[in-house]
Amino acid sequence: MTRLTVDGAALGYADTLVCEDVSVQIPDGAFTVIVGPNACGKSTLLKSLTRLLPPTRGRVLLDGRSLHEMPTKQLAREVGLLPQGPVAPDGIRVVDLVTRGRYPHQRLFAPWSPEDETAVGEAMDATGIRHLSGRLVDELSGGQRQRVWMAVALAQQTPILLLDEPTTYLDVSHQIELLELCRSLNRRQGHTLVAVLHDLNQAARYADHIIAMKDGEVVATGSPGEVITESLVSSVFGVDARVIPDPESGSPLVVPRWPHAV
Amino acid sequence: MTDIDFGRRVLRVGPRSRPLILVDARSLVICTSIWIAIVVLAVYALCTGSAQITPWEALATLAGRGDDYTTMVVLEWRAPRILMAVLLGACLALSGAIFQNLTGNPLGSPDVIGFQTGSYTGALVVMLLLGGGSAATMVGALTGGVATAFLVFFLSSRRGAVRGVRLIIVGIAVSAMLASVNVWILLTATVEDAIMAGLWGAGNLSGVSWPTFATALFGSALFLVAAAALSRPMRIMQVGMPFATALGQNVRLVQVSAIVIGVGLTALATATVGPISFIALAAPQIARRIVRSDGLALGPTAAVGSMLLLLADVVAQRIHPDSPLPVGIVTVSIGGLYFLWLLLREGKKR
Repeated sequence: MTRLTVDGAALGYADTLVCEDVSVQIPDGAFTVIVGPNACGKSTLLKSLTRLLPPTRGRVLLDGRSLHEMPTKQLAREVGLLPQGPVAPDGIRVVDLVTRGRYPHQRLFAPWSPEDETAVGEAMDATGIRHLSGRLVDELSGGQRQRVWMAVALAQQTPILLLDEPTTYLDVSHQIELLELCRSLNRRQGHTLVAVLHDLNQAARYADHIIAMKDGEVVATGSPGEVITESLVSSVFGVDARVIPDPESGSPLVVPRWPHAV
Repeated sequence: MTDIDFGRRVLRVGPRSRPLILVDARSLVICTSIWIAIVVLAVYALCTGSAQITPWEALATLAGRGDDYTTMVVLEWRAPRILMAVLLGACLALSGAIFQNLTGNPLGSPDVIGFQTGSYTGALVVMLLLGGGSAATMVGALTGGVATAFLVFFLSSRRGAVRGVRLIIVGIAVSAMLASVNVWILLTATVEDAIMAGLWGAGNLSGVSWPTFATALFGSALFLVAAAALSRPMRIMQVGMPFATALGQNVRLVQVSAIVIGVGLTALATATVGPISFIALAAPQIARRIVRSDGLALGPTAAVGSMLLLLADVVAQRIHPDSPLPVGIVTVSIGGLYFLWLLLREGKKR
């Protein structure tokens, strides 16, 4: 089953066409990861799944309806996005930022409800930031801040959540923490997740479904075992590597070849 | 229901199980205090000046039991002027808050980016070149302000997107050009006309009557209500365009509405009493610092704006009883110092 699909879409910005003709289906209830070298159109594809980037040709559909024809708040109750490098307003507290995520559920003159309070509390619990609730966002570390942003997206309570390079700028322990959080959201609460990740091995470990892109085209889709192969790593990333089973998770592990004498 | 630590006192208004709205306790206390101060200041302004009146006489006059002289002084001269200061102070402050939020920069206020200079240009064209009366001058100022706003937005937008710093730089440049146009128009006029126009250009609350107050009140009511309705969507804008879009915000619609409301509030105030700077620039920043809010606190901002303009007007009238100053001179003097401090602080942050 798939609720969210891109159907023959041309994607790009004012004067540059990034993807000429892409079609993808996002499997429901799965953790999908988009991988590919820099400037291959991964973030563009992810943005096309929101209202941020209307396709110049083709369609992007949610439940068979075009995203761009849906009422904006209705769409925002179905699909959430954690953009790359969001900036918090000066002097905002964690709880107030997380509350921003409730916007699509609130009406103009009824700005607060017990449902909002429960959702904000749950989002902070899921990301482990409840103890930071009353603190100023400016005072937090990078890892804590990324968890706060994640909580904003979670407070939105969307069944589908898109994450644009959520691990960038995080150190490795925070990267793992965030990916574990994504995995538990997906496994326990059945969220459909789509993330753009840079690290192939992390993608292979955590993804149920991988979309590999190169030069604006989708070159392979499927389970990590099907997609992450020596020939794909070589053709897409231009890296000569061995792919061996990860001794911990059993997923494919990419080990670049060592061109020197050992 | 879960207990959430808000990091401050939050009051729940409405039924216990389903509060309608959460009110920041600090913000409430501060707003109430400012409004009490405004009332005290208003009573002081009613009673003092060239004719000294006791507070009891003033209150009796307000209740309709004063003699002819005090009735004229209190009801016809002083009351509309005080109310006008309170109303336009709030309008200017809200306009400033809207533009600072839109540009994401404390310098992005309508008095800095040229809208008031443009209003003055419009007024000068009508007063000195076309020879219009006071109603025509208002229309001219309104047109000048709105036209300048259009020009600044047109020159600073790229692909339809409004960028903060670019807007401010373009605005300052347009403002400087219009200021020299204004000087040029003034130089072509006769001395009497130039003095009258110069007085208007200094921003003056003297001679405010009930009809002008009523016009300003009706004109601004719509914009004030719209600003209140727009406050939450504008707070959402603070998390950036991508996130705001993902949260279901129609970003373009909110930006355009904010511009229309912000320009409307400033243009209306300027058309009524002439350019009064500093209120729009400083009130939002003072308000957010004292309530410790995260950027957009419209209630406290309006209260601070009203307070500042009323205070400036009282100072302007009392500083030298024989020759009262236009209020704009007072706000410009204080504003200059504040502006300098702000520039230095912004410079240090980079």
